[in-house]
Formats: sequence, C-alpha cells, structure tokens
Amino acid sequence: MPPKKTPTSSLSGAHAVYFLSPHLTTITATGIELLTKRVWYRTLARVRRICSGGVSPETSRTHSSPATRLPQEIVAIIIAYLTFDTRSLRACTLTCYSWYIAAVPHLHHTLSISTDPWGQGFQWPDPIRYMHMLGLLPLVKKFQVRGGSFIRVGLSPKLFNCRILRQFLALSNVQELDLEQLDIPDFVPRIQRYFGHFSHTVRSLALREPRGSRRQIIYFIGLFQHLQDLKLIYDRAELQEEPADDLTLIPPFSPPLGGWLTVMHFTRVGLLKDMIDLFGGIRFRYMHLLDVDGMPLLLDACTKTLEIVVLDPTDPRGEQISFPCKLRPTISQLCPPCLTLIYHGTSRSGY
Amino acid sequence: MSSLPDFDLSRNKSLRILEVPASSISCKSSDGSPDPASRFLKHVLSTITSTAFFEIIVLYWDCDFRGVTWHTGQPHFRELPQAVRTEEASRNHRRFEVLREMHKVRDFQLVLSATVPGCMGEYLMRMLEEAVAEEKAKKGFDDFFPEPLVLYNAQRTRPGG
Repeated sequence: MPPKKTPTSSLSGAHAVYFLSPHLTTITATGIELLTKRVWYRTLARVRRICSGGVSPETSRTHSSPATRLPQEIVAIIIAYLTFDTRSLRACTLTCYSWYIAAVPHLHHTLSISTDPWGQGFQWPDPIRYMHMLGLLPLVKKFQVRGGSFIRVGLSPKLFNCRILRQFLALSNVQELDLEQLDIPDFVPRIQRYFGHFSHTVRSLALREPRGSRRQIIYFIGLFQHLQDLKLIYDRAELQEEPADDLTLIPPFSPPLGGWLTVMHFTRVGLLKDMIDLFGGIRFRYMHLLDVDGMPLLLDACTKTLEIVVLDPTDPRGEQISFPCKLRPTISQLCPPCLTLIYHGTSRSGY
Repeated sequence: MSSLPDFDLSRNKSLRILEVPASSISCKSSDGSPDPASRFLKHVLSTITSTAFFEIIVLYWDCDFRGVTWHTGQPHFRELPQAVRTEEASRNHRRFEVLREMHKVRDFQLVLSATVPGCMGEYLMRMLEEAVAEEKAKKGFDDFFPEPLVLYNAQRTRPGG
C-alpha cells in the first residue's frame, strides 16, 4: 500500500527525508547552496564596503544609471527634441519607466488608418483593436482616416460594430481629426453616438471629399464646440438639390473657428455662406484659399481677424474675379502648379 | 479691362502677411502681354490698407525645384543639364521681376520660404540662396528692392502619420 500523502510541514525531518524523492533532494540541496552563496557574497560586499570607508550601496557600482534619476521635466525636454525621430523615441522607451512615460505619447501621437482594403498603410480596424488592447488609444492626439483612391470606401457606419464602436470611443483625447470620404448622411440619425466623444477635445478638423448636403456638412462641423482650424478639401458635390428636411438640422454648437482655414477645390455653392450664417460669423486668422466658391465672402467675414492670407494667382476660379479675358492663363499654365500642389499637399505637406 | 472688383483686402485691417506659391508667379503669357499673375498680385497689393502689413512670403515646395525626384519615399537629386539650369535661372529672374514690380506698388519685406521635407531642406536652401546670389550678381537688388530673406521651413512627419 503506497504511503499516504501528508503535507511536509507537518512532518519531522526524518520523515521528510524518507518521503522525498531523489529528485526533490537534489533541488533542495541546490537551493541551500545558492542561499549560502548569496549570504556569503552579501557578507563579502559588506566587508569590502566597510573597508573602503562605508560608501552606501546606492552610490556603489551596482546602482542604476543617472539617466533614470533625472527629473521628469528634464526628461520631457530631452524627449521633445526627438518628437519626429521614431527610432530614437523607441530607443528611449527602452531606457527606463520614466523615459517610457515621456516618450510614448509622441510615439502614438498620430494614428492613421485606411479604409481602402487595397490601400497602403494600416487597414481599418486593426490598429484600433491592437491599440485598444494595449490601452494606447487615449494617447492619440491626431486621428486620420484615409479613403480609397479608385473605389470610394469612405468612413461610414458600416465599418462599425458594437465592439469596434466601443474601441473607437476610447479615442478620448483626439485634438486633430482628418477624415476622408466621410459618409455624413449614413451617420446623421445617430452621429453623436459615433463622434460625440470628440466634441470637447477636437480643435482641428479636416474633411476631404465629404459626402452629404451642405447642411449636413455644417451640422458635422458644429459637433465640435472648441473647433479652431478647419480644412475643406476637394468637394465632389454630388447633390444637385439640397434635401428639404435638412433645414431641421441645427448644429449643436457654434465653434469659435478662430484659427486656420484651408479651403481647396471646394466649389459647393452656398456652403460657406450658410456656415457663416448658422455659426453667427467666423473669426479665422489664417486663410489658404484655392478654387473656392465665395472667396470674397470669406475675406469679408474675417475683416477684423485675418492676419495671413495665401493667394494663388493661378486659381481656376480666379478668372471670375481677376483676369481680363485676353490675359487668362491657359489650361496648361493653370494645371501643373495646382495639381502638383495638391498632390504633394495630400501626400506629404499636411494639407 | 476688368477692374478686379471682387478681390478687395481693404477691409481686412489686421492683415500682416501675404503668402504666394512660387509656382504661380512664374507663369508667362504666351502672347507676350503682361504677366496675369503680376497684374493680379499688384491689384491685391494695391487694395491692402492694413497698417500691420509688412511681408510677402513666396512659398516653395519640393515640386518647384527641378532635379528632385521621389523614389520609394526618398528624394533623389540629379545634376541638371546646362540648358535646364539656364531655363531655371531665367524662371527665377522672371519671378524676381514680378516681385520687383509688386514692390513698386507697396513696400514689403520679401521672404523666400522653402517648405520641404527635412531630408531635402539643406539642398533646396542652397538652390534658393544660389538663385538670390545670381539675381544679386545681375544687380537685381537695390535700396528700393532689397535682398530677400531665405527661410527653410522643415516639414516633418510625426510617428504613425
């Protein structure tokens, strides 16, 4: 009959040895040996310390690097120099916890996602899922959604399910929102549910090829109560007539709109006028206008605030306001600068 | 002749800076008539009444420089043939001519700003400085149209962008 298993602690030493297998005996012996060595080396280090004049262990050669003991403010200043250097930032995060804390917001400042399944870069919704899993979404300050170049796959409610929406709502500190091919009509009945959490934080909004009537676009802009900068870039203007029920759409807020206005190839008639009327005026300090309907209206609306204006004499709509017929530039003169400007703008220069 | 009535900056009392893309001031009428860009800009300048106005910034992007090509996300600089360099010099000279004409309408500080990605900034800054030096050699600057400032505004992309 095999011996009954009893907790070793309740047995005397002789019984314990009797019940231990040879393997366990070896482990116990090794453990005792390691413990003895540890005590011996600690005692040796203490003796050496006493002999060398009693230097504290914190300043001996076993201490941590001075970099880890810098004040957090100094670390933040050092890291700020590396804001645009991903490789160095990554290296900094491996230094120690305080450096990680200082560097990680810069690493995750911008989140750019593509909704185009054949597009380059991160595909919707993988980055949101991974960053949510790691708790990094609150660090994102700039959120970009890129649509499809050939097949128009914009941001629409079809891309969301309950889980993705919950993860999307964790983007709680976004200050810059850059959305391409946003399908506003599909969102409208419950648009606050999707974008309401950006309302307090977003200061800069860029809409590229937004879909929807002009009232819907204005309503969307009015969701962000502290909005300062606005970019409206490339409008397809598919709607020939504005839907009648759009008049019931009253923007929830009148954003201050006192920063930068960039409007390029946005020729929808009446949108800017409606926006000025509904928001009770605009106060932009910087304007970059190219191929815009209502350019004089914008300049007039900001008479007291406008400080910097970017003008393009080759503006395709400039012929309406500036050039006598015989002096109009030819198409070949107009197009290359405008097209290259926009092309490079969308790809690299941040427009 | 059109009186350009709609484009009026006279009511903008706090206007400080006018920015103009470099590419837009180099267009030239095919029939030899006065440059429409020059006419437009002179008209705009003449409408400015803001006392705070003092600066015109000419914006150069990477696409404004010949000899720069992009390959797999990296810029490549190639040596320009003599004919192209002559053409570039002529284009730069034309730009300075337009700006000189504008200076006659109103006094301003001219700034040439290369707004390009960081990796190509040094090279393109040198090209701009060379253009200014060439114009200076032609005695294109004087007390009435002083030498412009040349700035480099680095475009940098944050991680994840």
